[in-house]
Amino acid sequence: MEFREIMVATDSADEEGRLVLHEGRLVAVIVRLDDPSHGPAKGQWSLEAGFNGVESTKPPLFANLQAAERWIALQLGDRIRV
Amino acid sequence: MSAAILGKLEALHPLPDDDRALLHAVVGRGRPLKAGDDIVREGERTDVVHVILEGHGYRYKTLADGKRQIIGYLVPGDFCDLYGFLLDRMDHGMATRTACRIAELSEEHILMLTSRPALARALWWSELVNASILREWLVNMGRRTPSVRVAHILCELLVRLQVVGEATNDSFRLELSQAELGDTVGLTTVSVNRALQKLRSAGLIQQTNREIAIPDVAALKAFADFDPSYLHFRKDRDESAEGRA
Repeated sequence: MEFREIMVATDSADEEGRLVLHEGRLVAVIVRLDDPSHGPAKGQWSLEAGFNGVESTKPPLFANLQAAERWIALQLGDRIRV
Repeated sequence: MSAAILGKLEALHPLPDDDRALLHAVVGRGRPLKAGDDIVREGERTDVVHVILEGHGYRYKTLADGKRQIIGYLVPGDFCDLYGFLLDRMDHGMATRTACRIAELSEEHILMLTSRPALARALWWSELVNASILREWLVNMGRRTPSVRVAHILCELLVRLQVVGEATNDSFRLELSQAELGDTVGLTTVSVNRALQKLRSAGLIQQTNREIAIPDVAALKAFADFDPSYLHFRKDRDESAEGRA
């Protein structure tokens, strides 16, 4: 999995993002929660968009990029098994 | 104890004094429930009809993976499960969000109330409104953007709480967490937080502690695409009838 730095327009301080690619294809966009309004969730990574099985109506927050990668891989794995 | 029910029902249909007295006698003082208590669990049978006298609750459904969708809010004066005694099992659950006082009416009570024409009409109205609110929520979830969705819910709460005397012209107490709001409008807590932030920075709402103040109600309603006619309160029906005349 490849993580490419990208700035995301969220109309908040949450700007620092990553395009997540799997086998050269975009599967997710994640962003770091830097806006103070997120309270205790500040600093964690949030799934902003997911594709091809990575979409979720209630995704978890990720403490770091490794945790995001593990979860995204799991979603992709689920999809492949189906 | 019956003030909220009278406020709600009379906002839908006028009641003669005898009907008011009967309702008051039947409702009684109710019993207290703590915040987070079940009123009726999903899948359970209920022999009684629950009515919220004080406090706030919600209707919900739970998915197999544990996710919850809130499918309606219950505020004072609301019948939670009118005619629910007809069902073998409730198709959704109801729980309290805050400490509540709940009246429990028997099937005989309901038959007594519905044998009186004005009360029967008021109760029919309240059930029509429940269905109408659900339709509006469906539109809200399916076709409105996150900040408009949240704004619409706030407008609905303002109007519904006003008829039972729990909101001023432009403010009310909202003991609703961002997680609960997320489960209501089908958004993540992060999206709800950003939506609220957007409403705050546009000056459409002000939040202090648990109080929501709306500096310009007309502006929030316009932003939310909020038309109160789906709540069918007489006040709005009369106004639109005057508009047509």
